[in-house]
Amino acid sequence: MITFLLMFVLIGSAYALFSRDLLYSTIALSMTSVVSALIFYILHAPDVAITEAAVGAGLSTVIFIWIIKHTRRSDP
Amino acid sequence: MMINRILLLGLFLLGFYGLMVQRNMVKKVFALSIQNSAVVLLFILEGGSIGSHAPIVTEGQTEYVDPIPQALMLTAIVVGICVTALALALVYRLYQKYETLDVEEIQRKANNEE
Amino acid sequence: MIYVMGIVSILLLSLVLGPMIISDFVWPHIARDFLLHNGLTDTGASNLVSAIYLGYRAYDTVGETIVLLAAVTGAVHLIKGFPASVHGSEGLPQKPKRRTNIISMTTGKLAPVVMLFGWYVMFFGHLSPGGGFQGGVVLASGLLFIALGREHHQRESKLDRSGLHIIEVSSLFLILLLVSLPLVFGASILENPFSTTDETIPRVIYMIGFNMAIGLKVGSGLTLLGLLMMDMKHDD
Repeated sequence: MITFLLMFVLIGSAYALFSRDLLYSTIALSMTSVVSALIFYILHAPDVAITEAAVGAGLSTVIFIWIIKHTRRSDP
Repeated sequence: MMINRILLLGLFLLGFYGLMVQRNMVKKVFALSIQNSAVVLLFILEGGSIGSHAPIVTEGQTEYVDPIPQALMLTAIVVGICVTALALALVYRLYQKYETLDVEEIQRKANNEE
Repeated sequence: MIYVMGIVSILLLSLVLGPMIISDFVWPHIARDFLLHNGLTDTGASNLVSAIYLGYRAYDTVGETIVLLAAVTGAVHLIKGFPASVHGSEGLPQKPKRRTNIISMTTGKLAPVVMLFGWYVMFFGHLSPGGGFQGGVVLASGLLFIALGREHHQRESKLDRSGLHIIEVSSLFLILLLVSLPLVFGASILENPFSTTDETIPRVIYMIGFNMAIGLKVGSGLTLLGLLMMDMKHDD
């Protein structure tokens, strides 16, 4: 189960780094954080799960979207 | 289990490769965040192998998960987002001055200015 | 050329980190046994993770709040300190003339619920999963909902006039006060001063006070970071 979810994290991170549209990679990074929070819950760590879900899918994604709004959206 | 740790090593190396090779500065900041995630996952995975219950003291339970890695990773996550926010502020400042997000173009323009 | 260097460095790095990943060392359980027997009586918190970062390793917590203060200060100086003219950004497409207020409606009405949940998580940190950091981050999300839920004819949100920076600095002073408070009661610093035999003052008041101070600090710091990024000028 954990192995299956870790594959999701790996695929999401690889897509976030090699995509040409920065908005899609921000959404992939947010998906990575939510799946990571699920892994933390399965491993009996509820404190870390709350923090990772609120930080990764909340504040970090919002900061990235505001940066790509004020600079460019596409990669090259 | 060993395959989980090998996958986490792969995630760390992917973040390192992205940090070195990508030319866009925002993608370099993505790679920093991915590396942070990999290290946090490794610690919690290792600490969760000795027990089967969340570390909250209740009556008659002795098989808890190790609480020390969890307490350390709380601080690590908050410091990680501070580093990300400050790095993005630097990226914004560079974009204001050179009007591009490409590292090699910025190097060329900075060399031409001197 | 740089791709070759990337592949070579990845191979060398995996050679260094490989033995750490492959080794079959069993995680020792001495720390868990010690905390199981002495965690509740030494600090007074049922949640062992709270007992660690508020009791045994409270120095790390103070250092982390200082890191947050430094990051917010640096970001404020970098963004607001250089008034330059910015050309039109080609980011996300321009807003249409008639802005839909579905986002303003939902986030503006959901904000009090999220903030209430953040306060709850902050207060009950010593009994159930939660605590200062977690409650502070959820509180920051709720405050950012208010900023997103502004009416579409306002240029700035209601949060810009509030004293968020005053709250952050004053909660740093509150943390320093709580760190040196046990000296008054005869214990060393960073230790829970109320003894278990005294029935009038429960032990958890120190924990709750410390959790509240950390939660306010983290919440206001992260809200300031979010609001700062939102206010950057661009051609609207």
